[in-house]
Amino acid sequence: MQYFDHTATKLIEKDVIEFYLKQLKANNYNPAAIYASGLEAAESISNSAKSIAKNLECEPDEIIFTSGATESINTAIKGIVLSPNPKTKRILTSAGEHSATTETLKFLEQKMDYQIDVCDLDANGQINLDQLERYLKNEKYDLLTIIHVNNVLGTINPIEKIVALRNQYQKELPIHLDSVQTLGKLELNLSKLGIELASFSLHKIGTPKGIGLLYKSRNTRIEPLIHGGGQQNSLRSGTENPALVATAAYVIEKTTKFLTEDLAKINKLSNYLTSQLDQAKINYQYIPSNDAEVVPHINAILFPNLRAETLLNVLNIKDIAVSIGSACSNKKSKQNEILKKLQLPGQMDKHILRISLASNNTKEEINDLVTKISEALAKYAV
Amino acid sequence: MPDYQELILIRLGEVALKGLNRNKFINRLINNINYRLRDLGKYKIYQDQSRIYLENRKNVTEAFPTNEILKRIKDVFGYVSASPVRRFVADEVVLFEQVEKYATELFAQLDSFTFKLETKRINKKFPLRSYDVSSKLGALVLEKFPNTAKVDVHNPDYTLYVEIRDDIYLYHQIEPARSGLPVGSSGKGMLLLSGGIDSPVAGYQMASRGLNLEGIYFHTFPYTSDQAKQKVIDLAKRIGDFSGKFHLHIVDFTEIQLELNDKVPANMLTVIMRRMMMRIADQLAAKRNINCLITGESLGQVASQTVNALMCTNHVAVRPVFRPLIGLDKNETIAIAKNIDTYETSILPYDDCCTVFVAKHPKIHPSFLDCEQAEKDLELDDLVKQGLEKIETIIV
Repeated sequence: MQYFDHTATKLIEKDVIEFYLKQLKANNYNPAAIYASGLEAAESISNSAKSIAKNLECEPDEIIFTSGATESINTAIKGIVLSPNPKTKRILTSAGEHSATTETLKFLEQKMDYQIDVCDLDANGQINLDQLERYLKNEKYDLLTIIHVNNVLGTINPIEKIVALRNQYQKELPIHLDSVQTLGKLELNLSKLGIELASFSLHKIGTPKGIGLLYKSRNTRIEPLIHGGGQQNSLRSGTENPALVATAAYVIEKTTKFLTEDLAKINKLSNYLTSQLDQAKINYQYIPSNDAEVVPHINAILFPNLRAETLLNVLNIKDIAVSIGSACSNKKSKQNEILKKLQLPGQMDKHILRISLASNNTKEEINDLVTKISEALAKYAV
Repeated sequence: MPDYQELILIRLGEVALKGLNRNKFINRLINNINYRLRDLGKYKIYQDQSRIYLENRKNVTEAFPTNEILKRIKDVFGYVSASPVRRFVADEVVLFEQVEKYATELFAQLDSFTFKLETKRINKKFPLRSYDVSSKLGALVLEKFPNTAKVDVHNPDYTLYVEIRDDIYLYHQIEPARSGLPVGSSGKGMLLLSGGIDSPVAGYQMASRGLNLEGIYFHTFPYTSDQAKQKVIDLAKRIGDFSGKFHLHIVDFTEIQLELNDKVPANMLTVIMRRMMMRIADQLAAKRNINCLITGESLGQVASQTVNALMCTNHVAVRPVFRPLIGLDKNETIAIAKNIDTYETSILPYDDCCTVFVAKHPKIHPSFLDCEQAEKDLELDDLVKQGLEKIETIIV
C-alpha cells in the first residue's frame, strides 16, 4: 500500500519494533515492585521521563504518561475543572478543536453546567485573535484550551500571540494545548511556550498505540481523572508499561533529532506534489489557499470537480491510502464542522482530500498518486 | 419428568377470519415459524381453532426453550400474541397443586403484588364452574402469600389465566406480536432499497401484509463507497428477519449514471435516474416472477416525490408500485424505523447516489413530455439491458 495518511497514524518503523520487542523481553516488571527487577523498571521509567523532558524542554516531573491523547485531553480539562482552585465555570476554546476536546467540553456543559465560549476560525482555519481578545477582556475563565496544529488543515495557531493575550488580560488563566499534531512537525520548547498543559499522542510519531503524554507545568494543579495505586505522583494511577514508555522515549529522541532533516524532506515532497498536480493540469486548490502558516505534512487539497469521498474510494481500490477532511454527510464529524467554518462556496467542503506526508514517502509514490488522481478525475469528474 | 407440559400458545388474528383460504394462511404461518426455528430444533406445531400450539415432540427429554423460541418468532407476521403455557390433566387436585407451584415460582420473591384469576371452562365436564375455580384459586394464593398478595380485579400486576379444556392450560404472560399476514401469503415484492431511512420501513410494512421480499440496490461506486453497499446489505439482513430469505440484487449503476449525467438536463436528472431504476427493477421483477414493486416514497418529501414526479416514475413500470409510506410524516417513518431497529443503520453517514448527483434546482413538477425530451438522447433499452447484465445477487 502507498500510505499518505501519516496524520492519522505514523506507521511503526522496523527499528522501533525491534527496540520495543527487546524492551518487552528485558524490561517488563512491575515498576512498583521493590525487588531489583522492579526497581530497575522504575528507574527505566524515570530515565525515559528524563529523556522525554530533555527533548520537549521541560522537567521530568512535568510529564505524565497516559493511554493516549484522548485521555490526556480529558485529564487536562476535567483535571482543571475538578481542581480545588476557585471556579468561574467558563471555558474558552476554538471552533477548530478535535472531538476529544469538544465532546469533553460538551460533557461539562451538560453535566456540570459549564459555559463554553468558542472563538471562530478565520478563512485560514486559524483562531480569530480579535474575538479571543474580546473574550479574554470581558469574561473570566477556568481554562483556555486550544489546538496547536489543526489536524484537518495543518494550520498552525499562533500560540505566542495567544499566550501574550492571556498574559495581558488573565495572567492566572491556564492554557491547555492540544499538541497531537505538533510533535514531529514543529520544534517544541514547552517551558518557553508559556502554557500550563499540553496533550500528546505518540502513535502519531510512530510508537505502538496505547501511549500518550500529558505535560503539566509544576505550578499547575489538577485533580487526577483516574484513581488507584498512586502511580505517577497519584496523577495517573495504573501500572506503567516500562517497555512502552522506554519505546516512547526512544521514538521522541529520534523524532527530535531528525526533525530539521525530516521537515526539509517533507517540504520538498509537498512542493513536489504541487508541481506534479500543476504539471498534470489538475484543477485543485490548497486549503487554506493563501500564505497561512501550515505544516507541510498535512496537505488539504480541494478538487472542485470531484467529491473527496469519490476520489478516496477510487484511490482505495488502487491501494493508496488518503483521507477526507470531511466525512461527507457525517453529522457527527467534527472535521466536517471545521471545514464548514471555512465557508467555502457550494458544498466544496466535501471536496477536500487530506494527503499527509512523511519523510519516507517517495517522489515515485507521489507521481503514482497524481497519476491516479488524474485518471479518476478524467473518468469520474462531474 | 415434570407433571406438566410446557408449550407456547400463539393466537391468530386476521388470519383466523379468512374464509376458504384460511388453512393456506395458517400453513404458511406454521412454515414461517418452523423456518425461524430451523437451527434450534424440531418441535410439534399444530393448529386448534384460532390458535397454534408449539411444544416438544413426544419423548423429547430436553427442556423446552421457551424464551429462545419467543425471541425467534417475535418478528414473524401473522399472529397477534403468544404466551408461554403449562398444560396438565384436567383434574381438580392437580389444578390446585399446579397453581400453587406456579404462584410460588412467580410471587415468592416479591415484596408485594396484586393479582386476579381468570378462568375459562370450555370443558363442561369439569366439576367446578369458572367462578368457583377463580375464587378458590384466588383464596389459595392469598393463603400462600398472606402478607404480600392482594386481589385487584381491575388493574392487577398479574393475571393468572386458567383455561379448562380437555387439559388445563395455565399462564400469565401475553406477549403482543406484530400481527399482519404471514409472509409469502400475498406473494413476492421487489423492494427498491437505498440505504436511507424510508425504504427498509416500506419493506417492513409490505412484509407485514404477507409479501416475501427481494431487494434491488443501485450501487454507483466510486461515488458511493463500499461501506454504503455494506450498509444496504445490513439493512437487507434486518428486513429479512421479517420477510424471510432475502435475495438482494446489487446493480452496478455507475456507467448508466455517468451516461445520464452526460445526456440529461441537470434539472431532470433525478427523475430520469429514478425512471431508469424503476425500469430495471420492473424488468428484474419480471425475470424473478415478482409482480409488484415497493418504494419508500412519501408524498412531497423531496422534489422527486411530488405527484408529478411520482407520475413520471410510475409510468415506466408495468407492475404496480406499492408506496406504503406515501401518507406518512417523516417522524412516523422514523418511529417505525426505530421500532424495527433499522434507524441506526440507516443514518450511518455514507452517501447514496441520490445525494451525490443532485441538481441544485430540480424540476419539481415534471410532465411526461419533459421526461421524453430529457430522455431523447438516451438509448433506453440498451441502458436497461446494461443494468440487468451487471447485477450481483446475494442471499443475506
